[in-house]
This record gives sequence, structure tokens and C-alpha cells, in this order.
Amino acid sequence: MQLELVERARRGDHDAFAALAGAALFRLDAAARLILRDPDQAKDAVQETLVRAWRDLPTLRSPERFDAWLHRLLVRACIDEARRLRRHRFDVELTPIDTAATNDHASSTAERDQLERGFGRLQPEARAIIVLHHYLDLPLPEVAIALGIPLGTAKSRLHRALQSMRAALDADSRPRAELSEGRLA
Amino acid sequence: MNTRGDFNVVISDWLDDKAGRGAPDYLDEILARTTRTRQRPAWSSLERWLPMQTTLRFAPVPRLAWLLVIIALVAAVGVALVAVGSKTRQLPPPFGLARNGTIIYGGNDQDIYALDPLTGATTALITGSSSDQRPWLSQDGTTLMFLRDTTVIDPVVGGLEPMIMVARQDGSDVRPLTGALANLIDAKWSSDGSKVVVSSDVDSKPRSRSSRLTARPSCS
Repeated sequence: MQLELVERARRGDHDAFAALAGAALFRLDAAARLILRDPDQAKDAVQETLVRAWRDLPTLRSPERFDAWLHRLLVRACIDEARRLRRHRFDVELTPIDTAATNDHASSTAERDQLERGFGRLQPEARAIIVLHHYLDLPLPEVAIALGIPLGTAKSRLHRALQSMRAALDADSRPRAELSEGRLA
Repeated sequence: MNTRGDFNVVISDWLDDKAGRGAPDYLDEILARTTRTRQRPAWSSLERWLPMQTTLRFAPVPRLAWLLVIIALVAAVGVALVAVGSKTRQLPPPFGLARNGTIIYGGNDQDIYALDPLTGATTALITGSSSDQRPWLSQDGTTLMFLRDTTVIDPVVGGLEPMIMVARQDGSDVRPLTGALANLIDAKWSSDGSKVVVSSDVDSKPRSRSSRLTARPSCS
């Protein structure tokens, strides 16, 4: 079904493209929001992605690889958007106020905050590889195709990104553990 | 988050949760833009015409291949040196080395002869009743010039005026180059053998002129 829509859209059928865009929009928007961590930037990136997709669709050689191609366009648009804004914005990271974990809910909330901070410290390129693999559930060979890099490079980049996140989480959790044990008191 | 597998699950769950479920509301904006955007023609993509790989993997080059390349280069340099060193420099005529050839001379019987210096054999090149003498080979050795007495009497010295004849170096294709020359002083080949410069008296005054061999006697 999707293949037929892609073929029609390649031949200039705008309705077919509208159907493809509608089906992919939520997925693209969510991935862009995760990579860019800004809904407005994400919207711009998704718009740019779909406009480029429509414009360049006739040049797509393998219609069955439409999704991978779309993901690639999205990642490029996100990275372009991040670079564009990096020139005009200074991010200020707020230091969290450490509180002792008293129950499961608080522990879960604290863990989410740690994940948020660890993820936020990554470069957009590293966030993109985590999002493609862990949110869009793309297998690594498809991630490599979407990013236009060799499979080995995709593996090592994902490994480094996750390692960097873990390290950030470990560093965040250490003072809290020490505080709860009274070492800093 | 103790094991890698757990951590991956945590990450996936957290991303899923963070992405939310709300559908974006800007599809119409995008479609409005795409309706105003023209599609690129399929032929405008280079990838459609040239088979190309967008990701590149460098294959390791085995050491043996490098060794073979180095050996091939050394061999090529050696061959080039031998070729250059052994090449004899060949000068163009008339400056090149002389070959053993015949010696052309005028006999006392007023005929022209050729002597082979290797064997000592003599061959008559130009014979007959005419009086021929003083042969000169052109510098490339292909054409022979000699003097032949005409019937015109030199008014100053009283002898017969000569004319210049040319022939192939083997004595064939004999033909006149000039008419009767009064008081011939000298005659020389040009270096390329296409002309003969003649110095003689014209109206009792010494003059030099050149005669071009419009059609050289062909070489056998």
C-alpha cells in the first residue's frame, strides 16, 4: 500500500504524498522533538523534511526505502536546525537541587530527571542515533543507512552515546547517594 | 539500570513516554507548502545515472599487495634506466656517423666510377661518349652531381664550357641541372641536398646562384 503511494507521489500525485505525510507526521514530529528538545524547532525541521521529501521524491531510486530516506532527511533537517539555532542561543544548564529519595515515585521522578539531563547533554547527532534505534525501533543497519554512515560507525556512535548517558547518570546519582548516607552532612 | 539490557529498556520506555501521544496539527501548513513546491525531475539526480555508494568502507590492503607494488615500481625504474643508458644517440644526417659506402670519383677516361672501399671493386656509373668529371655526392648520399662538357666554347679561356648534371648515386636517372656555365669557379650541395650553389662568371663578372632540384632523382 505504502509502496503504491510512494510510486504515485513520485509521479507527482500530491494526494498520495499527503497520505504518506499524514501517516509519517506523528513519528517524525516525535523524533524531531526528542532530538531537538524544542517543539518549535521540531516543527520547523519536520516541515523542512516533508517539503524536501516532496521536492526530491522523483529522484528516489528505491521506493521501498522511502522510510529510511525520510528518516535520513529528518536527521539532516534536525542537525541543520540545531546548528542554525546554536549560533543564536546560549543554553544555560540549571544545577538540580538534590533531594533524598524517599519512595518509589520520587525515585522514578528522579530517574526521569537524570535521563533528561543525560540526554540533554548529548550532541544532536548522538541524540538522533538513540532516537532512531530506541524510539523508532530501527535496527542498526537501517540506522546506518538513515544516517549515511557505515554500520560499524553507527554501532560505535550508539555505544558512545549510551555510555555517555550512563556516565552522566552515574555522576548525577553519586552526590545523592552520598547525601543519603550522610557523608556530606 | 544495572545491566546494559535494562538500561536499553529504560531508555526506550523513557523516550516513548517523553514523545507523548499528541498528534501534530500542522499537516495542512506542510501540504500548503508542498503544493507550491515543484518536484525535481528524476533525471536531475546524479545518483540515478552514476552507480554510487553513499557509504564507503575502506577495505584493508594486504601487505603482500604493497610489497608487489614496490617491487613493480623498482623494476619499472630499472627498466627505464637500462633503456635510457643503452640507447645510442643518433644524429640526423649529415651529422651522423658515416656508413661504409662507395667512393665516387671521375676516371681519366672522362667517365664516373664508384669504388667499394671494403672489396676494392670498381663500378662504372656514368659512361658514354660525353665527357663527365668531378662528381660530388650530396651530403645524404642519395644524389650525384657532376660536370659534363658542352659544345659551347669558353670565350675567355677557350675550352668547352661545362654544365652541371645530376643523377642518382647508382648512376641512373641522369639529367641536366644547368646550362653551359662560363668560367665555373665552384659548385656545392646545400646541406639538405635540395639545391646546388654555383659560382661562375656571368657576362665576365663572377656571380653565384643556386639551382634547385625541382624533382630529385628518386632513390632506389
